[in-house]
Amino acid sequence: MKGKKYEKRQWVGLLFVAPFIIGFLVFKLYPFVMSFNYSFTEFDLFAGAQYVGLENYIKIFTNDRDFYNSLNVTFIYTLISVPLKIAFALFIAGVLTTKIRGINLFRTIYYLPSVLGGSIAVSILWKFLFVKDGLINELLAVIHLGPIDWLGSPDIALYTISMLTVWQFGSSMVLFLAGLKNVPVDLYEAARVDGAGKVRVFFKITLPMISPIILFNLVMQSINALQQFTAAFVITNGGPLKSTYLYGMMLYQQAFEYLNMGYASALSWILFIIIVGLTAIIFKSSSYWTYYEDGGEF
Amino acid sequence: MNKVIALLLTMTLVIGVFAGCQSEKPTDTNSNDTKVEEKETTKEDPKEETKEEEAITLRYMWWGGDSRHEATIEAVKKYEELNPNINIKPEYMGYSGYYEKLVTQLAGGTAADVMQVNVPWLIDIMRGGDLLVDLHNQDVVDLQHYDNTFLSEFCEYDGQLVGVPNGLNAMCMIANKSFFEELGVEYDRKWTWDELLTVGEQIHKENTDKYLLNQEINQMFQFVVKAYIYQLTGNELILDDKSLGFTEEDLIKTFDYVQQLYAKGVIQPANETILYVANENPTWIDGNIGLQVEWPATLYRYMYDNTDLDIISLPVQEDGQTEAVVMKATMLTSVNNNSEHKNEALEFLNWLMNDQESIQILKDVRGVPASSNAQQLLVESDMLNPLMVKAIDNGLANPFTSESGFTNSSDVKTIFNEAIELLAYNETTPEEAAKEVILRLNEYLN
Repeated sequence: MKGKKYEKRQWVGLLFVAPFIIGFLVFKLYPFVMSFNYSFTEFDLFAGAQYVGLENYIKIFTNDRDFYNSLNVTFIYTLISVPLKIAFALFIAGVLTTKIRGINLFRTIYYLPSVLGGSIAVSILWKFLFVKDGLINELLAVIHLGPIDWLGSPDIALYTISMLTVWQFGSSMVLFLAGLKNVPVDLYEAARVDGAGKVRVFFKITLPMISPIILFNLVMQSINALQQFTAAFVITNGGPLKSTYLYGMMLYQQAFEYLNMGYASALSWILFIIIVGLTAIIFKSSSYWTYYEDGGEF
Repeated sequence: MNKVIALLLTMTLVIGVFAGCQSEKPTDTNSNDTKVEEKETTKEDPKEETKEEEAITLRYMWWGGDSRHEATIEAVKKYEELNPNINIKPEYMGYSGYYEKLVTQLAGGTAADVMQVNVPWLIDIMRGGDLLVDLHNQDVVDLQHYDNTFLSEFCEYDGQLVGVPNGLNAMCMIANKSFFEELGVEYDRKWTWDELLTVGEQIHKENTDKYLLNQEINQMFQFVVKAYIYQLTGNELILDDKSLGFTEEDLIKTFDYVQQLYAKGVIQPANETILYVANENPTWIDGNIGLQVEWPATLYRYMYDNTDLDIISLPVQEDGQTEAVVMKATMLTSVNNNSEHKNEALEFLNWLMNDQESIQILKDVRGVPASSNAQQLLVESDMLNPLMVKAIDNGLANPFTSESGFTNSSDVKTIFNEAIELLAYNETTPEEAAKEVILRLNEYLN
């Protein structure tokens, strides 16, 4: 009798998660498997797919004008935006732990950019802020600086785009906020009694205690950064001179402008392997710098 | 605090639900109305209930600017009024991203029933087989007012007429009159490309914030490089046998010209224009640029409050092979061959192109109409923009064969655009760029 009831409840549970499972199977797993399949084909969107073996991969590594440049641009973008974003998120989270009236309102406001972040509208806003006679240069002019060619110069455009990502620090910040609140107060009190200064407390207590959250943020943000597309597409369209031609942009153009679906699938699998590799490295290295109160056993 | 948040969330939800209801309401009542009407008709003459009276929804997709959107939606509403059983769902957007959306939809079998297609795209689209209805094989759309030579030369692909041309386009220059009046420069004449250089250099030297020519890098290929090469060689860029219609020297000369445009300040520096499409460039909007090589159908996009525009003919080569002007159909309106309601779609297309009412609603939002009937009607009722007529007259007086085949492929465009960007940023020489472009073109064409 008891067992039967349990089974029934299981059914209901499955029903509740069904939308996710179906969505996952149809929109994630199936395309995932198929893209692997297509990566060995020459797949013109109109003419259909034809198996060509490893040809796409060979061409990417030996005879693609954009591949290495795009990889390079994407790595630089990741190296700038991810650490800065995490540092910034941690800083703001630290500020937002202070106990003042209306702190929740501030937390919400600081989270807003992330809610809007991925959208086209914000990218367009960013474009208008940073164009030659945009707001940022007007402000710089007040203190007799600039104008700086934020988006038109091949040397600077990538950094400007990276700043947009840094500005969207909200989701990391929320995690840090939770982490900071979980650091036991008695540790701080003990350190203070022992005469440790604020900086020392931060590096010796706060950082180790929240290191698992730093790890999580590092992994998630790196994965996101490597797949970045919107900002470069909307603001600079990969230019000038391909200086913001992120890997995601290259992939998109191969797929939807030149209609080389097979080639684009191969590109996306290379990106996938890079992401897996990088994540593995971060995890591997984390045993040296993360601290778990319970010894780190999952 | 929790209570407040809970309250806020609840309110948002409630508002969301109401908003949802509101936006759905009109369609609901609409479909109800049709249902009621249907029922009434069935009651009156139950025997006459035919398939035609079922509500049919057609999707109609186009790109354009506001004026085109407004006029087209008005025409769509009119058609729905005249044909209560037809419901037309407009899907419209700007030009950017339209091509990607269209080809993906066509390949995926989810394209609209009626859609606007750009002639240069046919080389890429038609690989997919008979995706668009061949209008030679139907008798719903009346083509008697369209010039046959124009249809065969500018609108056909491989003998198939895959759409009705919306209008005529002949490359021209859009001139900002007030710019020239202020400077005291005569603009209304036949320019040579070299004169553009000398006059442009002079103007920029005397007024550092002013430029003679407005051309975004992505347009440079279409409007300067192609036109320059055509006139220089008398050939299309890529010939039918996939060989190049120009020599390396021709290309070096052309690229050298492009680089001089930037070096001499005839064109605004690339890093200032790269973020804008030409008609949104603030320098143009402020009236500080004089000329723009363009298709006249885009004229409305370049109009701003303080601009008084005129149209003049394309610059010519002093010692070129031809002074001909590149012409094309502004765009085609095509019917999806896989449409469930092909016949209704063709009927709608026919109305859109040939009906007096539709012609008067749409006017010249897609350029000067290609149908002589429509032209006459609009001229009589004084509804055509005289500037557009002027551009077409210029073109027709000296037309160049249409661009076709591989000249239009997106790969060729990319190869040229990348070289032009390097030239604009002064990162390469015309010689190097020409060599690279020829190498890549041959690689692509073979």
